[in-house]
Amino acid sequence: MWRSSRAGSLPSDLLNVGVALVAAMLTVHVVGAALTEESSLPGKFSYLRDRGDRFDVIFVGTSRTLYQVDPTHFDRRTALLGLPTRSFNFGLVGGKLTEVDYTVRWVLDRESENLEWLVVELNRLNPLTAKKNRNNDRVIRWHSLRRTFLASIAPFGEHIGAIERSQTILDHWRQFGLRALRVGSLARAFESSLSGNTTDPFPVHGSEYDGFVSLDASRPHPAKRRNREWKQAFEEIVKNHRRITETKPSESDEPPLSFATRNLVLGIQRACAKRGVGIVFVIPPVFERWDAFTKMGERGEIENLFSFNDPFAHPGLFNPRNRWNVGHLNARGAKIYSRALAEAFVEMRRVRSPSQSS
Amino acid sequence: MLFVEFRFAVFFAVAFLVHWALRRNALRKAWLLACSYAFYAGWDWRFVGLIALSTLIDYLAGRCIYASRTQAARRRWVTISLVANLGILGFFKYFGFFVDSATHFLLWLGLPTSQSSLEIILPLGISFYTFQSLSYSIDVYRGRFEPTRNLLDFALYVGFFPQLVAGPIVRAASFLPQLRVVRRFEDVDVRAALVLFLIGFFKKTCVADNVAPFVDRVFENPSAFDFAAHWMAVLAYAAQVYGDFSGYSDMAISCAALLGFKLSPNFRFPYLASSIADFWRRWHISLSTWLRDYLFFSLGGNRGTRARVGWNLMITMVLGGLWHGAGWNFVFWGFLHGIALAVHRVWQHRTKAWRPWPPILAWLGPLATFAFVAFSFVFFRASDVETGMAMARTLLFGGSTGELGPPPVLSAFVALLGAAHLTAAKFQGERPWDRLPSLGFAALLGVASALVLMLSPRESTPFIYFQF
Repeated sequence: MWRSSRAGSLPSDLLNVGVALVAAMLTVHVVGAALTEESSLPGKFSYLRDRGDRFDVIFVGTSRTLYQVDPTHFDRRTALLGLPTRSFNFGLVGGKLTEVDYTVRWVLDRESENLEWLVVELNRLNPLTAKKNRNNDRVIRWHSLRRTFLASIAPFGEHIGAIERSQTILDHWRQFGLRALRVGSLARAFESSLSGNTTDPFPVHGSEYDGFVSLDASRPHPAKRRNREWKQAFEEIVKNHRRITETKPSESDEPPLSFATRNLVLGIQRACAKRGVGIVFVIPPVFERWDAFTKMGERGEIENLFSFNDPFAHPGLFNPRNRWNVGHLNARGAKIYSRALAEAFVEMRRVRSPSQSS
Repeated sequence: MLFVEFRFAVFFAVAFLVHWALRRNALRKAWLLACSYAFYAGWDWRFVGLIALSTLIDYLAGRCIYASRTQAARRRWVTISLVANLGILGFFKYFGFFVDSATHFLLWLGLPTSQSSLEIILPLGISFYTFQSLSYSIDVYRGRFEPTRNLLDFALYVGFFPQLVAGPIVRAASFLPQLRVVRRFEDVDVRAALVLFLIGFFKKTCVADNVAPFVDRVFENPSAFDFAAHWMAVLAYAAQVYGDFSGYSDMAISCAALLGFKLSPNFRFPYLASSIADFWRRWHISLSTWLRDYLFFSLGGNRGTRARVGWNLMITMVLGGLWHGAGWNFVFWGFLHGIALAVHRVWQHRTKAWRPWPPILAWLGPLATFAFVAFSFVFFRASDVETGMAMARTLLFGGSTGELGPPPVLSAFVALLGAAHLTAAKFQGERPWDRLPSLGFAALLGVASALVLMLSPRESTPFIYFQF
């Protein structure tokens, strides 16, 4: 196949393809050694890398962690209850379970001296990626071989069409290729030298930064504007509230957990155990039945499971006055949630230490 | 589907393997036609019918022209082909432009207008395949060759996916005979094709896509940038548009070559042209020769007075400008090139006695040509004539109040590209890879591919010529 004008054989063609691939991978390895992944990580990662030793509890999750878990209230509550902590919110907007898995392992790899507990938000793995994020650093970054495999089998458990499913699978492997071949790594360095620093989606504010972002502080609360947007959000909250309170577990149309989701959750638990770091899984107040995770806890597959997804046990978290929208709590809700989380955490710690947990 | 996308790699791999696995020529052609329509449907399936319609019109026109016994009948059929093709092109590409221009003109006269709000989608590559299809009818009318009887051959000639959406504009006389012979993979120059694809990929992603963000920033808000940044943006855009389009052409030619077809080169180091006439012999060769053969010669070509020839050149270039895009900035760009060609013609006539040029003057030609070409691209890139004029004023007379200068890295990068262009021209035609053993070539290709991928931005911008 590599001849100019003479015939070759299939084995020699395959050998040539193999040699080209090996040469490409070696080049990527050699050139890529100078371009560490760290250089493209958002500020939140660098902050934790540089000052992570001061924290003993780290919350990992999506926007439901970022906007809802306020370390200040959490730490105040744990101190009041006699087991003081210093916590950090490592929530990332739009994070998927695969990215949570990446983040957990990144935190564990730092081998921080003081880290005792990771509080990980549970979530079903959504294999779909928004079109605008398909080439995003954040999405590419977590595409290791294992996570790519899990993300590409996850669409089989979803109610999506055959075309979208195959596109999703192809896209995950494309993203794996982009990561493996470090596509764009030199171009990125060139672009940032042209335009200065690229925009950091998670900028760090001040030396006492704890990672929390209040939705009310970043954008005015819709309720204060009394506009149609808030009215719609309010109606949606009420509707979802009714649905979750009136649906019995047996009537729920909640699909079973996919193999990929279970594998990722159990993998996170194993990774923490291996490093001697305690793990707490949290089901946030989501207005949907997530009983499949609860059952995993009941069966003893996962330890230390805190569920806040119960409007009867935690009515404050489902009250429209405490919510920013149907997906997130406002600052007042975050305060209630952080305190409740702290209380559950202290109660759990009174019974077991991290080493016992792992 | 872009040539630089992962899904194209998958698509092409399937097209390539099945194509060579099929033994019968008719099956191969049917497969390639199916691939071509699928490739186009990947953008918008609704417009596949438009290609099929264009194909059918010119196939029938070709047959009817050939079968007609009288010149009047032949002329009637070629007119039908012209009206149908240009009608389709005019409706989809120029309807909005003419309506807007008429509205502005009436408003300027102070007459009342009612604004049309008809939004027409521009079918991808319509200018390319319409011109390609049209050239067939005209060539049959001119008696250059016999029309093909085989509709499949003709449909593949119009819709062949490597060059469907952005050229090169292929002539039936060179492509249709290739469809009649059974191609053998042994005859494919795989090394040359792979090297050409990699070069095209490099030009598109590493050159064009890397400089595009800076060019966009300057053209979106010129007043924020200083005089030097304006010139840097012009030079960077010259690199971008060349890298983008010649990169596409290289990849198209390479893909066609891997399928056993030979397409003519579309670029020949245009920025080293010694004059503006030489530039048009090196830039978008398939379009410039199309305009020469079917428009310039039809207008009378080089026959007649100097003024008449100048007029023919002007008309050809203005319409060539309009072919690129439905906007007055493209018309003005074509107009500038028309003037330059006419002036060059006079200059050439007047300075006959001075030749051969002294060495120092021999350098001035390429420099002046490049400076003019790069400067005229301001109107090609600007969103409208006013913006282009404002930028051109700054480039010529300074006076920008902006404070942002050109990034030093970009200046170095553009200088490097210039040096690379000169070096590549010096070694053009040489094939050093032929001296390598198979494994050595494979290893080198792997290393080069990895470096090119690392230098490519992840988010590729659409090809500039796709909008034409």
